[in-house]
Amino acid sequence: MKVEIRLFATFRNGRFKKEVWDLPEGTKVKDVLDRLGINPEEVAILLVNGLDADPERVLQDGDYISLFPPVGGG
Amino acid sequence: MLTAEEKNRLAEIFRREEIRELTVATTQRISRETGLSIRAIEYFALEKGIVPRRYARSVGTFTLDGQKKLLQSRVMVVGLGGLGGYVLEELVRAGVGEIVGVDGDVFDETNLNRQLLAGERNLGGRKGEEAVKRAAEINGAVKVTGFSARVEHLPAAAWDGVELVFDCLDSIQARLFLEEKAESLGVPVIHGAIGGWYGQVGIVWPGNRLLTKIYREKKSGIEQALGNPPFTPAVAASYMVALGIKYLLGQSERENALYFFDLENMEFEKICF
Repeated sequence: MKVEIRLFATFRNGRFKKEVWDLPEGTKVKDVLDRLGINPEEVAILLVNGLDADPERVLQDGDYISLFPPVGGG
Repeated sequence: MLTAEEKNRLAEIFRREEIRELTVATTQRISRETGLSIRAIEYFALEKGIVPRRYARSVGTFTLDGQKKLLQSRVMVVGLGGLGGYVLEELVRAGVGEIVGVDGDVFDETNLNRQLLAGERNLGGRKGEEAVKRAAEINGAVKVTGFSARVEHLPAAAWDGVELVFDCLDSIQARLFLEEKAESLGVPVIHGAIGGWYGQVGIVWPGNRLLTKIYREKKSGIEQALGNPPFTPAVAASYMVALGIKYLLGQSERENALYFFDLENMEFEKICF
């Protein structure tokens, strides 16, 4: 199945902006994070298809994941 | 804002002097003569369909009634650094009538790259006091009350009548405190945060716990490594004030959304929760 990965801000450093990955059925969001080398703790906003989601979420063909790091300065 | 007697007195002055447009100088003179506040005189003028010249370029966007509503509004700006300096500036120029400014810090040299209220002249000055001085230079109709204290230590009276809070803080812990406090008062929070080329803004509606959702147990964000450059606070602050003024004018849709911007790639994302 094909899943699109969209990275934002500093998550792009040394990675990419957007890629489509071919993943086996049953892949969870946390498996993708693992492959990206991103600790779930580092993620502030995790979206699947533009909606709030959990690392345990099982991905479906055609899904897209968006990941944002925390921003807290003023 | 005015008693019937005060209205009659102002009506008499406006008639006698055939006032069709209200300048700053005229407003100040009438204020000295009558003892009425600049804000009350401007409000009276707007009721009569006369636009104070200082708002002449705003009313096309806000309408006359909207400008009246802003003059009657009371908001709080928590944090008077990078975001707060610009937020305060825009609220004061917009004529938001009463602003409570809160910051426990003093200005230091690392603030000079981005904080509108920071200058070489006021290094060491309390941010809460500098905010009051800046506002007085720009718009005498606006009453800014400055508190040189952390938001957690504000006296209860500081919150009286506040209908909207701007979260311009730089500490996640303090932001979470503010979210809870505002929720207990039933007041929405205009949230803004920045780091490097990036920033986010959104409205925390009472009960939606947007900040708890995005910060969870986090202690800090990407700003720790990237710092805050000169341009990012002004962009975030302007989005915040646009959201805030829309709310005050009764034009906000209640939705659980966060807007994320990236000035390095000129991107803008709306995130729905």
